[in-house]
Parts: sequence; structure tokens; C-alpha cells
Amino acid sequence: MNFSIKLFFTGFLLLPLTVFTQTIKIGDGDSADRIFKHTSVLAADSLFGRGTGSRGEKIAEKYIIDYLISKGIPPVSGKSWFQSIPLQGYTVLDNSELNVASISEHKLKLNSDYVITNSGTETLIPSYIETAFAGYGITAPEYDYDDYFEIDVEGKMVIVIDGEPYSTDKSYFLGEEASVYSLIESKLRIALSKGAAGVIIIPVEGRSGGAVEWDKIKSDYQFEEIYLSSRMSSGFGAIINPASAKVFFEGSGVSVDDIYSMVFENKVRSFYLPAKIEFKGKFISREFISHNIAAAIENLNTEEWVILTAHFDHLGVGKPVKGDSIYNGLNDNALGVAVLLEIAAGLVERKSSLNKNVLILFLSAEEKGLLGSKYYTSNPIIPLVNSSFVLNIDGVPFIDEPGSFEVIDGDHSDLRAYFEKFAKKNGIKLDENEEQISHKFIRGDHYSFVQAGIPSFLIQEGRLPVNKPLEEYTWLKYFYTSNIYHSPFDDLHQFINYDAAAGFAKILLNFILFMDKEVDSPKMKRESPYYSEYLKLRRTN
Amino acid sequence: MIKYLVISIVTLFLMTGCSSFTREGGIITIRGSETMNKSIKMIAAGFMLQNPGYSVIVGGGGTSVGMKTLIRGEADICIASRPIEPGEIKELVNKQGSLGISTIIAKDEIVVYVNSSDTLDGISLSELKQIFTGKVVEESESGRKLEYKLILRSPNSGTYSYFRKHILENEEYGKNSLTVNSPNEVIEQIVENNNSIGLSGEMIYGNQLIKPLLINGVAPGKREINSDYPLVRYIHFYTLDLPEGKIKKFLDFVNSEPGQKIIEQNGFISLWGED
Repeated sequence: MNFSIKLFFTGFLLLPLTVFTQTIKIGDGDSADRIFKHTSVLAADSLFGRGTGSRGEKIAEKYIIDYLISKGIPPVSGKSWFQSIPLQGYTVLDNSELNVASISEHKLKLNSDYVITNSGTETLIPSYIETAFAGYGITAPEYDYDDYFEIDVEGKMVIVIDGEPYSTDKSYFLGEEASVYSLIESKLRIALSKGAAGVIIIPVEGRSGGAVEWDKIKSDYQFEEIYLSSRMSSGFGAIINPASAKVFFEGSGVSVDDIYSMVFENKVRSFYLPAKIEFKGKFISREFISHNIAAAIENLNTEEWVILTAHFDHLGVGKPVKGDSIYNGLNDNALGVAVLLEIAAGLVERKSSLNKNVLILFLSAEEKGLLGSKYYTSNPIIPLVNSSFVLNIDGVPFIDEPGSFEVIDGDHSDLRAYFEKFAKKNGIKLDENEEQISHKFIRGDHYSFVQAGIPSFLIQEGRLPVNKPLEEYTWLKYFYTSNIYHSPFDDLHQFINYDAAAGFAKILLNFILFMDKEVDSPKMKRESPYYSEYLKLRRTN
Repeated sequence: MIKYLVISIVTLFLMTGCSSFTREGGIITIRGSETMNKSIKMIAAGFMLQNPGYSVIVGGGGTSVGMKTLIRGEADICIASRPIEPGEIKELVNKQGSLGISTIIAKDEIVVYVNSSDTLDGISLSELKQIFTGKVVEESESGRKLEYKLILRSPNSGTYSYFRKHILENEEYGKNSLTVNSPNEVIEQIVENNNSIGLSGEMIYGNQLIKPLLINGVAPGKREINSDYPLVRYIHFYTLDLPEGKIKKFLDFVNSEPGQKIIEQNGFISLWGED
């Protein structure tokens, strides 16, 4: 027997032992190499950006499951790896017609004049209907504010401006922070509740009241819109290019610039418009099943579960930018998935000493509106009441080792206090005077869990770097957000500090181990709007 | 047919087994689309066999009637063969504090039928609009003037509203028409009147007295999810909240393999056949 054959057989015999007994170190150079390997596969062009319901997403599923199997991590007992999510997708076709008739007739063109959002394949306004301008499109009794007070919009199309009334007073529409009323979904729901046929939104640039960059909006809305098979009633939803919005105001005596002035001077008011509108939409649609992947490190002595999540979908294939049409999503969120795989491998090796169960959940369709996590919370694999807390991994340090961390819990729970306790014990610095920005919190899967009454949060790199000069670090973060995020350039060609990612995995793993020893479970705060859900879970069980 | 229904239900029962019998229960009230009425009754029968604690009451009346009962709080589910209208949403908000939740459960082809003695085999969407708005259309090949008596469902039906909005673009139906309530009566009238035309949300096989028309050159009845047939719509369940409890249990059954099989067997297109 030659040496290589001997080595082969020895290796073969030791393989099962290797899988279950070899201790892997999380956070060292090997750990960084593994994270690099995971991201190299998940963010490769061959996965075509892991779009929801795409072949690339299926390849990613297989890679994740194969790795979990290789580490001896099974699905939840008696269940499948997959949680099937029924989804419906639609794409608006260029031959759709949005026509506006006022003093003259205008045929608006998809993408150059408007984009469609929050609608459905059966959206149709076959004949002209009346329109009205309804300010921000908000009815908010708690702020004594109602854009619909003086107008009746039943059967009409409502034209509104983006955003909400500006104030520095935190008790009024959350001050300078965006409240839920600024969301397109909120404006559409409020309009529908008044009997309107739909909403057209004129985007504005923050407080300046100026026009936004239309190309950016066009790019954001170029992808297929996807919804769960159960969804809120919908109507017509569109965003208009500010340069084209003047057609709605023809003959009204008010210009788009006047609207911008109203925003700037806090004099937004509502009024009927002479323009009429029709929409003859042409769509292609599909119904399909996508999957969440659930793995478990189980402890039969307790019913309590800690849930670790990372979404594995990204945007897929879109319009080319500088010749590249694959939106790979390396940072968003191949790197998060890689870090979660690394943490899972670290946890399974410590299984015998764990006091709690851990659910490792890879979520689909996050980029389509947190659909994977919304579906999970409506169809939980583990009873929600037994779910202690959720740590979501979406945004891994990649520029430098962080000198500080940001805890994003939206002020909904006491998770920050737990992390502070852990950080203090381990000499980890947290950002000071950190404000919980609600619009940042509501943009991740952790938000779905909070809405279901489960304390949930996200840890991200903070303001301070370890090695790079502060100015360069800050500029690189800004550059990523402005130029790379959600573009085809979030790919394997960019610089990624895999040691920083591995260090992050180690910190999160240690935090889970720290929480595993805590007797009390994190709690939702009474001030949270979702505290009632938290209580409801406990009352009904 | 009854024999077939019984066999389907018994098969369903055997497939799903007795082990899932539970003590939980409740009453689920469903109203709405006549188009889906038969399918939902069969699914309800299968559901009740598997879950003896539950009673599912399925009533028809049409989508508009279903919406009204949901708005009044008298139904748990409205079966709708068209999307909810803005005015209905407003009423739902005012009466029940909900915008309504739509759950799609199937796709449905609207099939256009004429009497089997008719020489017409196919028609375009624009010709269809002209005929149903009462205009006389000249057949391009034969030069024959197509002038039909319209056999319409009641204005409360989703098929009536959907077709008027999506094909007639909100124009009124032609005056030379007869209105009947059920899909079966539409077919009966077409059989009895040589020069009549009507719509059904169901592909009917084996009836030699009627003829389904090709639309834009495409035949109905392929039951393919991505068929080119242009008259395809969704069937929705409308509920006040995201389905949970007994409603979710029933919806899960509708979306299960046995539930979707019944939907397919009744001529509708299953949405979740493949995973």
C-alpha cells in the first residue's frame, strides 16, 4: 500500500470523527478562510445574484444545506430543511399605458416617467378617473394631522408627495427621523381606506424639497415585485419622475415647484386637480415556491430557543451598470450567511454544553420586503412563545476590524442591555449616544420578529475602526453605501477584510454562549408598539 | 358526478389518514363566487372529514354578495373571482377596521361559449369587446355578421364585473342580453339559443351542445399556469386578517395537495403544484 492510499484509508476511517470532534476555532485565520470560501461560492456570478425563486437561489440553498450536513447540523427534528413559501411575482411591461388628460393629453412612459410599485397583475383603471392632490397622503389622529380632511377621494387617484411633515420635535412624526407614515405602503393603505383607486407619489429630496435623482429610483424599482400569496388588498401604486409630475397640475394654478415650496414652508394643503387618469397595465406574472432553510442545534431538556437568522437571497439579475448585470450581493448578504455558517459550526461543537436550543434560519425574499421572515412568523417552525430572542446577521464588518459596535434593537426590547453587559465583560466598545433610527430598524428581517412580539436585533460595525484612520474608514463606509450597496459592484472584485468578518463571527458566537447562560429571557419594552403581541403570545400559551 | 365526488372525498380521507383527527373545532362561513362554489364545497367536505370538529358552511350569491357579507361580519371568507374594489375596501375599513387580506388560491380561465351549431371557432379580444358591448362584428374570413344574444351572469358575479372592467374597459354590456344567476344556467341558455354567446369561469368537457371559442388564436382548457390564453384571472379568498386559527387551517387544506387536486379536477389552474 503506497503512502497516498494509506492516507486515503486513514482519512476515510477518521472522517466521521473528524466531523464531530475536531475543534474549529472561530475568529482565526482559518475561520477567515472558510468565510472567504463561502462568500466566493455564494456571491459568484454563477449564482446570478440569488434572486428570489431563481436557479441561483436554489444553488445557494444546496450549498448551505451541504455545509450544514458536513458539520453534522440537522434540520429541526422531524421536519424538513425547507419551509416552503408560496409567492407571487409580477413584472410590468413597457407597453403598459398610463395616460393623463387635463388641458392636453399625455401618454406617460414606464421607467422614464414613472415606475409601478405595490400593485398587482390585475391592477387596471380602464377609463379616466378624477384625481386629487392629498399632501403627504397621511391621516394621523395621534398627531392631529389629516391630509384627507377637506377632500373626498372615493374612486379617485390620489397624488401625494413623499415623506411626512417635518419637525425637530421628536414627539411629532418622530422629529427628524422618518416615521412609518413616510412609507409608500402606509400612503397606499391610507388612500385605499378612503376609497381611492391608488396613489402616485412625487419624490422629494428631504427637507430641501428639491427633486431626487430619478435614475436611482428607476434602478431600485427595476426588479420583479414579489409578494406572499396572502397580502393586504392593493390598488394602483406608482412613483412619478418629478420632471414629469407637472402633467398632474396642468390647469390647477399650482406648479410642482409650488408643491416643493409648500414642503419647505410647512404649508402643504390638499386640493382637487383637473387632471384625469387611466392605467392599462400589461404584466407578466408567476406563482412559485421559495424556501427558508431551518437547521437546529437541539437540547431536549428545554423548550427555549434562540434564533439566529441571515437572509440568503439578493436582487438577482437587473439592468447592466457598466456592462455588469449580476447583482451579486456579497456584503448583502452572502457575507452574513457565511458568518452564520461559521457560528453554527462553532455552536454545534459546543452542543453538549448548551443550555438552550438554537434555530439557524436562512431566510429567503428579504429583498422583496422581508417576505421570508414575515412568512416564518405566520407559520413558525418553533412556537413563537418558545422563541427567546432573534439575532439577525445582515451587515458584517468588511472594511476594518471594528473599534466599536452599533446595537440596533429599535428600542423595542432590552436586548441592548444584554449586549452592553456582554460587551463590558469582554472589553467591547459600543457607539455612544447611538440613536435608534426606526427606518434603519424596519429594513431588516429582525423587524418581522419584533412585530410578532419576539425581542430581535442586529449588531453592526460602529463608528470607530481599529487599524484604519477614522476619516478613511468613515469615507469607505459612505462610499459603500452610496456606490456599491444594491449595485452589481457588491461582488467579489471589491476589497473585503475577511479577518474582520471572522472576528465578528467570534464576537457573535461568544454573545450567544453568554446568552445561553442567562437564566432570564430578553423582554419587549412596554413602550414598544409590539408589546401587545409579546403579551398575547404569553397569554395564549 | 356525485359518485366521482364521493370517491374523491373518500380518497382524500384515506390519503390524509385518521391520525390527524382532533378535538378542536369551529364554524367557518364562506360566501361569494358561484364560479368556485362547487370546488369549495368539495374541499370543505374533505376538510370536515379530516377535521370532524369543524363545520364549513359554503354559500354562493356571487363575489359582490360575498364581499357584502364579509363587510357585515357575517362571513369568515369571501371567495372572489375578481379583486376587491376601492369602494368595498372603504366599507370594509369603516365597518370592520380592515383593508382586507387577499390570498390567491387558484387561477381561472374565463371561457367564451357559443352554441355548437355556430360556425365561429375563434375571436380576438377586440372583437369580443365589440360583441359584448352590443356592436355587430363582421367575421373577417366569411364576412358573416356576428350578432349575438348575450347570456350574462348577474351583476353581483365576479365574472360579470371582471369581464366588464378588463375586457369591456368599463363600457356597458349590450342590451340584447339575458341575465341568469348560475354558471350552469349560462350553459343551458347557450344550448337552447343557437345565436347566443356567454361566459363561464369553468372549462366544460364532454358537452357536445356548446363550443368554447379560441381567443386571439389560443384555445382555453390547457390548465397551464403560464398559458398564453388571454382571459385568465386569479381566484382570491378575502379575509379580515391574515389567516390564523380555523381560517388558516382551512386555507392550508385548500393549498395542500388534496385541496389543489380538487381545484384542478374542477377545471381551475392550481398555483402550487410544484415545489
